[in-house]
Amino acid sequence: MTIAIAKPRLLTRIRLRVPLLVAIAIGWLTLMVATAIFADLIRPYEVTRMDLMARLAPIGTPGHWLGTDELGRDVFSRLVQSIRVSLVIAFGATILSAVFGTTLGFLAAQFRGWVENFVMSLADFQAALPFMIMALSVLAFFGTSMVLLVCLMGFYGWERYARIARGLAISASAQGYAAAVVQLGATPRRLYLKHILPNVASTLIVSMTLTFPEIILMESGLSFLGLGVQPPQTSLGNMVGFGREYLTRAPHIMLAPALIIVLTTLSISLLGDWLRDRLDPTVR
Amino acid sequence: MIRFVFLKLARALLTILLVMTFAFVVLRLSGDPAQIMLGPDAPQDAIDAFRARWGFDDPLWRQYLAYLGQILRGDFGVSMRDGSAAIDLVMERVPATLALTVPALVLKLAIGIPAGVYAALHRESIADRGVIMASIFGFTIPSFVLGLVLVLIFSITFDLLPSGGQDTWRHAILPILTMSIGGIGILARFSRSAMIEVLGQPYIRTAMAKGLPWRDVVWRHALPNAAVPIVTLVGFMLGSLIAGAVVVESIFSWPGVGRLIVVSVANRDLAVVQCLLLVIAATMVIANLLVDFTYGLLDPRLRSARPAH
Amino acid sequence: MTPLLQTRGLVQRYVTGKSLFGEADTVRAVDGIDLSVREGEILGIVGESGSGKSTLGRMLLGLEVPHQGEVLWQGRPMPSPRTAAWRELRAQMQLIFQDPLAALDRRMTIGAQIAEPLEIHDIDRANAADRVAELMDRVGLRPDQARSYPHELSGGQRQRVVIARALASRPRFLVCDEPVSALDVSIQAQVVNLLRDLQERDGLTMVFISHDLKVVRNICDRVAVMYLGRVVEEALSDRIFSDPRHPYTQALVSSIPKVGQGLEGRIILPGEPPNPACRPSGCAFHPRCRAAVTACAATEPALEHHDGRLAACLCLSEREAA
Repeated sequence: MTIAIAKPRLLTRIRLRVPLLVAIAIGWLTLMVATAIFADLIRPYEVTRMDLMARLAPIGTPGHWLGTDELGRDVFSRLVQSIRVSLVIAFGATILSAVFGTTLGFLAAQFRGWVENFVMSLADFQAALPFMIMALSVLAFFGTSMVLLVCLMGFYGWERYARIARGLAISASAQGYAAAVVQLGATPRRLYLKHILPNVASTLIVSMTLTFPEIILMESGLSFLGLGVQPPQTSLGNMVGFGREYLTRAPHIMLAPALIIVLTTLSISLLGDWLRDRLDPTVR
Repeated sequence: MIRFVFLKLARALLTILLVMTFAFVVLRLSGDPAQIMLGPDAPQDAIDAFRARWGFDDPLWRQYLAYLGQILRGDFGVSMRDGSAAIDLVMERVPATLALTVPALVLKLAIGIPAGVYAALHRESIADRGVIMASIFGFTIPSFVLGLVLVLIFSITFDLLPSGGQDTWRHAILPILTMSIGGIGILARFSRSAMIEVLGQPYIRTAMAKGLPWRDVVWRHALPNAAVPIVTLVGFMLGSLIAGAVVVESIFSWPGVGRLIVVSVANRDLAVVQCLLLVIAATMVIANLLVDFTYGLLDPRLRSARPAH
Repeated sequence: MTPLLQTRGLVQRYVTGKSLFGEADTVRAVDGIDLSVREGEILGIVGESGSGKSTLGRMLLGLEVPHQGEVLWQGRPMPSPRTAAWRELRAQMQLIFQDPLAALDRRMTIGAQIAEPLEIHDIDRANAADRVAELMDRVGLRPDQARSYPHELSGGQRQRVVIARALASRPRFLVCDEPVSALDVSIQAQVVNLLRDLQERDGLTMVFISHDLKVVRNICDRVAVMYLGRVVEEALSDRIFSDPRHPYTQALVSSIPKVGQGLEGRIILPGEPPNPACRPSGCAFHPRCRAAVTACAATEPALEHHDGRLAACLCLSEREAA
């Protein structure tokens, strides 16, 4: 098969001129991703290495330029590791939730009838129960492990993908191209993966930029409450939570991870807004 | 219209049933409550006695039916910690939470919607850009960061307001501020885009072409139509009146429902967590019902059809 | 010899209004059709909108399951839609759509779309590129257009893409549902001629659905005229156009403009166009028929042989009986 099947031409559709603010956002996110990937190379100390002689060192201390925490652990090293943990959870969860929700939405659109009703009832249920509450009860009773946390976060926002995917797949089937492919003899698998998915991908990507920062916030919220990522492992929310105890004497322990959270979610929101305007004006 | 109400109610009840099932499945299947409550070193006969007392020896479906029956009779079980009724524990915390969430909601509505509408009516102005920037910051700063920063500024640096507790009205100021700032941003942003969309519609241009005064166009034509999407968001906020304060109550040591959730979850107090789940879900479902019926009043076309998601 | 395709007592009905407690309203879009399509012929199906001709076309291909009756492909019943056997059969029968832009995936190059049937049915995949080039050449597309997207082509070119895709798996049977009515008049003739050439060269069997009698006359060997879900007259093309017998066919044929002739002799049909939701009693055409007699409102005429054709009209039967 030599005929190339061209990818949706994202680059020609996104105009090459990027606003300054969005460029900064992209730069920041690149930095964060690079930090997450090369965390082991960047951080100067082990996350758990304590230096009891230099506890609560202020910013600018030689050797600990972001200071140390209550146990004398290097804040910068912990920050780097936290970025990795938080981003891994958020990426993993965003992808899980998009795949899970989209699959259910496509199933609902393909089979209609009771399957559709079942999926939509589940989506209603998910929307009716605040995610934080659901997450709290599950985490507390199953204990807190990294895998469980990612899986749980992977349920965050799935109902949005399911509703979007179902709606788009139904309207795609009503349009000619899906019907045309079906009557060529294509299997449902081929129809959904090769035709409907590429056609709805831009909307789904935009939804992912909406859920990604929310998942970061949700994970850091849980970790802040002490029910997310557990010590000795560290995450951004977890650092804010522990830093809170030393707010008076060493506010930088709390402020450093807080700033990272805010800048990262802000960057994704800016990028998402801009992508949405470019790719898909129909999603609000 | 009757069919519309009927369908909505049926769906709401189904959702509640799903939440009940979820609570049951998660809380009963996740581990042995006897082990959890009595600790790993508990003697076997104590465990057996505990299991018999709380009905954990029955087959699961019997436990499930018994559980549904109890809830229908208004019996949500008793706290495994101190033996008082779970529902009482939850209810005595509700006023404290509402004391934070209701003023916060009022603030969100009173500032968010007018700011959004104003921005929409004066697009590209400095005020509009200000609203957009403020709203983006409003909803990208997590409440625990915002809360701690406010504490840092108002309690620690300037010593103006208390950083925790519930003794006087001054204790409520920081939590209410923390809760409302994000919501104001979201609501302003949302009202702005809803309003802009409505202002672009042909009937607004028609109303303007008829020579109606601009004020009448805005008040009589644009606002009622922009209200439909805004109501959805307000409904969601209404639904989170009870559950929306988990993080904020933890920061400010406010003895409300949110604190109770965190404490019960940490203690693995089954009955209380179950009861909280149901009360919170019921609030959400009722708020959704209110939204749906408000739609029906605002937009007659939606009365027969199911609103699109 | 067994016809390639045959229908027996085909009925399709749709539910229109459904209330929670009330009875469902149904509309019979196709109401008892017996047709056979012979190998190598082009059968035209003519009728106004609402006559059920598109529904019939979809049932002929097995895309819809008839409410009653059956479709036989080479003497065997049509498999249920979306089963493996049904999908396999798609290689042998294809549909050409009215709106080519809607029928194409706007995110795929047309080369890839023409190759799709080859991939789906696993036909000669090694030489797929050659096959696509050959198909594009046959329908009159330039080789470099294989890399363009549907929106970059004109309406006529898109329809050529749809035709090439339909032919890729070397089908034996093609249903063309109003294939040219969305195209400019100047392009229509080109596409019709293309279809005619392809049919002659490959010996394809075709059902050509259209409301446009000029087009049908150009391409079809045999024509069936439909009114409100039933066939009212069926004959060889020449015979239908030179000597229509059913009053409805007569009105349709008289409305074809002829060079050098004004509007005289044209039969204007009175009344509402047919609405399948309220079907008149007796002969469904009688409220608009200029030859109607009182019996027409009471008795449904059967499709019978009259002078080398099939027609369903009481007046024709009586005249012969007299």
